[in-house]
Amino acid sequence: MTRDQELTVIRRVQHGDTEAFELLVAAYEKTVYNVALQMTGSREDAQDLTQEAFLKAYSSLPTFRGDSKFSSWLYRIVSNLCLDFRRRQGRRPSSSLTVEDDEGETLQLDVADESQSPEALLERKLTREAVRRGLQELPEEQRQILLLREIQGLSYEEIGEAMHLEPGTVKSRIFRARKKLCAFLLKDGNIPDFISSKNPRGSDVP
Amino acid sequence: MSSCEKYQELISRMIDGDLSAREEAELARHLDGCPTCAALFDAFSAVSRQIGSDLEEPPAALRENVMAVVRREEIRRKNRIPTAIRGVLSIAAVAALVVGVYWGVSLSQSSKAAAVSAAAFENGAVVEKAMLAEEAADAIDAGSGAPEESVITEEAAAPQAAENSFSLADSVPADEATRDALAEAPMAAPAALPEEGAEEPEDEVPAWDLSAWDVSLLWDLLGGKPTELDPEELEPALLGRIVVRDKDAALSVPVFSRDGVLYYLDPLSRTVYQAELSPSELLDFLGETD
Repeated sequence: MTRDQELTVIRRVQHGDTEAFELLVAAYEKTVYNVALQMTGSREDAQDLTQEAFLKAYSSLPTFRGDSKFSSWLYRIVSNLCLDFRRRQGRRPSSSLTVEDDEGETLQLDVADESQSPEALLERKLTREAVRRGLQELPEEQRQILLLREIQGLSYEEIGEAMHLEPGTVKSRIFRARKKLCAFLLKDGNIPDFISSKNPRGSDVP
Repeated sequence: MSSCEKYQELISRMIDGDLSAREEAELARHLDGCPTCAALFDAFSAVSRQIGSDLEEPPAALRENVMAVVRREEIRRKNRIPTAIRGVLSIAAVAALVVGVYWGVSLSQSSKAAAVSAAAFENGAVVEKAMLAEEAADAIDAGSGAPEESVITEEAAAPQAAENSFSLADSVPADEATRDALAEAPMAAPAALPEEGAEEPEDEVPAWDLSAWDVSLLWDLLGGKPTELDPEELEPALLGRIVVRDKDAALSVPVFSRDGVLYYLDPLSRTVYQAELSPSELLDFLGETD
């Protein structure tokens, strides 16, 4: 859906065409679900939160004016619902969260990238599970902002809009989130020691 | 190796495509000579790809479940109207009695009071307001210009009422019991509203009927940004009112022209916006649609 088409759908729903809302659900359910999944670590909770988020979006749609992007607006709703949910849960330690990956899928790192030496560096497989575990280790706001960037693909400005932050703050938070995540993966054994071996532990990668 | 910290931040931004050509070149030069940062770059890239790829499919039932609750919500909304009308119209009747006194002051309500009113209305009462405005819309069709005021005055009355701990306004926030009690109260005829409206000096100001338009179309047309301006301050510059549709109701949007700049008031948020259109462009446009 182009932005214009999306606005047309939104207006139809605002006019009372309830069924048209399904088009918006179809367009965003996958990314909303995955953001909720990574925020909560539980498929059941993610389903409930996704449903709640869309319901809230539907109820508040009369207040959506179209001067900001619908996706930013929607993701603000999703993120806040997830944060509230996590707070209510009392932020259980990550070990008690259930991140089932019954497929046991591993991802062969695709390293056909810029530099040559990485191929040797990154022999080990970065599993989806390992990254998820790492995401659970992050502080809430860092996880939230990283997910909006990586899963939803929002720009710095859009994230700033969604979370009421300056783009500068968004940039540095994303950087710190990545750094922390990599540090965890390093400890977890999922990124080769190469990174740490080249500098004393605890200097660049906290 | 603290200089690497600066480059590390650049790496993060590079992955998001946020670097200028110059910054990118500078970073590339650094990466060439710094294996640590080069490794970090690869790690950041790999993790970024991993998070964003291979997303899970939501369960097949999710979409249907969402639509089921949405439809239920829509039905629930529609069923609330009957009780709400009785309650709101009786509130409006009493509110109308204070409107005449407070009209001049109401426009300068603090945004906080407006927010209280807005919150009260947002709580499912948007539809109630809409039904009230429906009465106003009918009166508009009947050719009387005054009832347009009723949409704004009712809005205006509520914040003032809320501020003065006006007992009826207190109950506006979706208190079912109170609303039912209000429903018992004698329902003053909506004719009370036009009476108040008739006292308004804005009678001579033109009203443009774009009631076929949804309000969001008007926002798109006018565009612009919110300002901190006080609606009361702009009152002498009132150009006219544009009537559009907000769901099933009529909404009256005042537009102002001052120093060659077009402003408009969003009655729902009580915010003054500076439009992207010029006053003459708007008048041209309205002239054509007449």
